[in-house]
Amino acid sequence: MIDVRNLTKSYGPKRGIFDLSFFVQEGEIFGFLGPNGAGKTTTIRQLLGFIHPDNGSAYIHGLRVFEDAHIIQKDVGYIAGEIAFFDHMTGDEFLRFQAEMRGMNDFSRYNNLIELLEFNPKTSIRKMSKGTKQKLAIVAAFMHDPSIYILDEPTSGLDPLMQSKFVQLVHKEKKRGKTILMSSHNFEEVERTCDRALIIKHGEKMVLEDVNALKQRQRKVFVVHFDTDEERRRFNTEGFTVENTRNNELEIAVSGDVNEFIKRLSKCTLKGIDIKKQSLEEVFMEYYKDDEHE
Amino acid sequence: MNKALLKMNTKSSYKLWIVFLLILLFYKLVIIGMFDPDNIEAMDEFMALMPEEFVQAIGYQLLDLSLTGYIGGYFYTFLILMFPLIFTIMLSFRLVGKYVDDGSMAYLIATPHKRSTIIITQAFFLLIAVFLLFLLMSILGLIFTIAMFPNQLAIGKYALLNAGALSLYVFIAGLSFFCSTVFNETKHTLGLTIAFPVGFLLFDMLTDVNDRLHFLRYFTPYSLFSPDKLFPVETAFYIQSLALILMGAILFALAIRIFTRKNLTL
Repeated sequence: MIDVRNLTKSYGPKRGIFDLSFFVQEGEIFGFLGPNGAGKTTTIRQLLGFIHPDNGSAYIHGLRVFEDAHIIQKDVGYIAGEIAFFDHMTGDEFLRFQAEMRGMNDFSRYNNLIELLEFNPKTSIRKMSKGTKQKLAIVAAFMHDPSIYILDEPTSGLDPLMQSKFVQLVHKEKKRGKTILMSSHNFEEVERTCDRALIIKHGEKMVLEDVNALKQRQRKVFVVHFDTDEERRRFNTEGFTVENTRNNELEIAVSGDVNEFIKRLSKCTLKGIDIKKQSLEEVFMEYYKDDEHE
Repeated sequence: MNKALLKMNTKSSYKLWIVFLLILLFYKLVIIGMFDPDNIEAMDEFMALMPEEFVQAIGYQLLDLSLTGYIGGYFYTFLILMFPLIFTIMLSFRLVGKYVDDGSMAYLIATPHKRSTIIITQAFFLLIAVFLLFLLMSILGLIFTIAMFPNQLAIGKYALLNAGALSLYVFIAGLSFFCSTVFNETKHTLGLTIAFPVGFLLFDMLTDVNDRLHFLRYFTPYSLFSPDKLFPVETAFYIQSLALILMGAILFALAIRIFTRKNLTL
């Protein structure tokens, strides 16, 4: 469906993408994961036919992404990483303009999306907040019912409630047989949403794997607040890595199966428990530390 | 050509167009209104009150002692270079440079249309907007002049003046469209879209100030539009107007070709 072959676009050492190859299958949600500046947007710009590669090629539906962009576009919904609209319009005017550009006549999806995202299209775009603009971009990308979605950090600026609504929307589209490529710098988001994930760093492919397999290998750090110091001492840490001890608090790293950890925890009295948010870099680091051990 | 885009352009630019039409008409009607058939040199005497270099720089001169020569000398020299120039620069930037600059061009390109269709539509819109500006300015000016001074205007020559000015603007539109379209450093686009057309205007003004600067006329294509070659009519006027149109067409063609192939960091 989306076929990227040895794509290279250099903006200097470690900036751009280098010899990147991957294939997105029909009907899957493909996560494109990497820290800021890793080359996600550079790749996506080439898929849209905005820029030429230095080397390599990319195809969508077997069509060349630059030369045949106008044919490919009939069937693509796109959200840009840095969204800019035509400021002088209202949301509704903008969406109707896009519909006209696409020769779209059926506005039923338009209405459903507006309702789903609780989006008021009558506001002037100039006065919209970042989150509202993101909603507008989502409606514009989804309303013409394309079969391929290319989404560059589609949830940025959305509140958590809207983010999960968006994830539901993407899953619904997948059920309808759509192909989705979405980029993100958030591991959890990809974990919740995608079937497979490609992790890139400095423009190079690091891992391309099933998300479930990634999850299995990922370590999670739990911050456990015990009721008292004694309770903390009572807890059997055998088999887990204790990262930090502070009074009645333990930071415990668990890789893979969490059941044993939960079972042992259930014997203690707790004040609370948190999962420590890990940055993508940390996830990478751990992933590769594990790799070296094997 | 894309109809939806033409409609969108019209909506976003008609106010700018109306403002410039009104400004142009205002100056034109004031100048025509000041014409005094009994004392044709009155305007020259008035101009003599101003610093000589200033009058020369803006190129005011009585082309001959008729109403047409008066209009040609006072309106189709400096004013015609000034206001439509600003309009053309502003519109060129709005149609392409601005959208590339802020990234909203993505919403034009990421649609089922060829890049060439999008950019040709923008070029066409710019030309139509300039053409209609001149058409309305010419016709309303004509009606006003005939009403004020019946039978004094040489309508043929007046039409040639306007056609010549329009051919100058085919070139200027081509130039500013080219600048707005081809430069890749987005932060430079606006600067260059202004710098080239205005730079030529400054050359054009300096040309007349001082004999030693007269050679500068070979560095500004604007000097190809010379209303003085209509009093009396010389073949050079036609040739030079055609040259302007040709250069404009080349610039448009280059802009379209380059835009169709270039990298757009949207």
